[in-house]
Amino acid sequence: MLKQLGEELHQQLLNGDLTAPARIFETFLPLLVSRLKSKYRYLDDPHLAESAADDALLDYVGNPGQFLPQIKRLDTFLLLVAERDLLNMLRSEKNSGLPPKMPVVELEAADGEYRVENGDLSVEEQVLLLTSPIWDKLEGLLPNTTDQKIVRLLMENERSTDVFAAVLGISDQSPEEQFAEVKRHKDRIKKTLQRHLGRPDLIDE
Amino acid sequence: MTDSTSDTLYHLERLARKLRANPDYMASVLAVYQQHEQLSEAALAHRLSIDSTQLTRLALCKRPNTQSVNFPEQIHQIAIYVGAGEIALAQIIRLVESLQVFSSLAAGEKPVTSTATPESMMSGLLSAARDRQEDDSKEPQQDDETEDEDGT
Repeated sequence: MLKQLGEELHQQLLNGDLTAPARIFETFLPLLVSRLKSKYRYLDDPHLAESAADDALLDYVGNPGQFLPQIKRLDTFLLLVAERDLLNMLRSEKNSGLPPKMPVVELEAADGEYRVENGDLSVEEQVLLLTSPIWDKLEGLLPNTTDQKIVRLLMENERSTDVFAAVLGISDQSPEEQFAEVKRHKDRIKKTLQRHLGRPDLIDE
Repeated sequence: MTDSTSDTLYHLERLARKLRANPDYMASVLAVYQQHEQLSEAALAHRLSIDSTQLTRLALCKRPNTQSVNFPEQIHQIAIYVGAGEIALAQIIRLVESLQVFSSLAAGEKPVTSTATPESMMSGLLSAARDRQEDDSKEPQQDDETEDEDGT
C-alpha cells in the first residue's frame, strides 16, 4: 500500500499539484524519522535524524526527477537519501580528522541502482564510525573489514552463528564447522580488543 | 489524539517552521502575513476558517503563482485540501506578494516573486484591501483567542 501511495504522490508532484509536497511530508516524514532513529540508536544528537529526514524530503520534492519508481519504492529511496544526508551531517560535525581512505558515499542513480555502499563500509558502519569514539580505534586495531563487521554484530548482540558464518563466507560448511570457526574468530578478536582497549565488557556474550 | 498522530503533527509543525524561510512554500506567505497583521496562529487559522492542524498542512503546500492563469485553480486545490476559505486564501497570498514586491523595490532589490509587476501588485493590493474591508465587518477581534471562541 505504501508503494502504491508513493507512486501516486510522486505522480501528483510531477503533475504540479501544489498540495503534493504537504501530502508527501505527512506520509513519509514521521516514517523516515522513526526508521532513522531506530537504525541509528547511537546518535549523540537524535535531532540529526530529524534534520536528515527533512533534507531528504525537501531535496526530493525540489527535484522529483531523481526518483525512478520503476527501480525502488519511494520510502526506500527516501531512506537511502536520508542516510546519505545523515552521514554527511556527521562528517561535517566531526572535523577533518577522518582517515583519508574513508569512502565518500554517493548515490549513483545513473546506473539505475540506489547504492549507498561504496568501498568496504556500509552507511551504517560509516555512521557508527563517526559517532562512536571506541569505533574510532577499531580501524587501527582491526584493519580487516570482516573483523570490523564481526565486532559490529557482537556489539548489536547478534547470537546467530549463521549470521557470523555469512560474514566469514563459510555458510557452506557444516553447522559444527561454522560454530568452531566463528568461535575462533570471536575469541581472537576479543583478545585483541581486551588487550588494547581494556574493555572486556565491549563484547558481552 | 494518539501518540502516532501527535508525533506526526510534531514533525510537520517542525518542518513548517523551517519552511518559513523558503519563499516557495505557503509557510513563508503565512509567516509574512501573520507578522504584518500581528496575528496569533489561532487568529490566522480563524481568518482562513481552519484549525491549527490544517494551518500546518497549508504551510507545507507550495505557494501558488498569482501571475499564472491557473492561479484560481491552484487556490481551489489548496483550499479543498485544507478546508480553507478560497477568498481569504487568495487575499492573503496577493497581499503578501504585494508587500514583498514593494519592499524589494524600496530596497532597490529584485523582487522575490519576479513574475509580478508593480502594476499587477497594486491591483492585487487594492483587491486584497477591498476584500478585507468587506470581511472586517463580519470578523471578531483579531488576536484574542478567547473572544474568537465565544464571540464576546
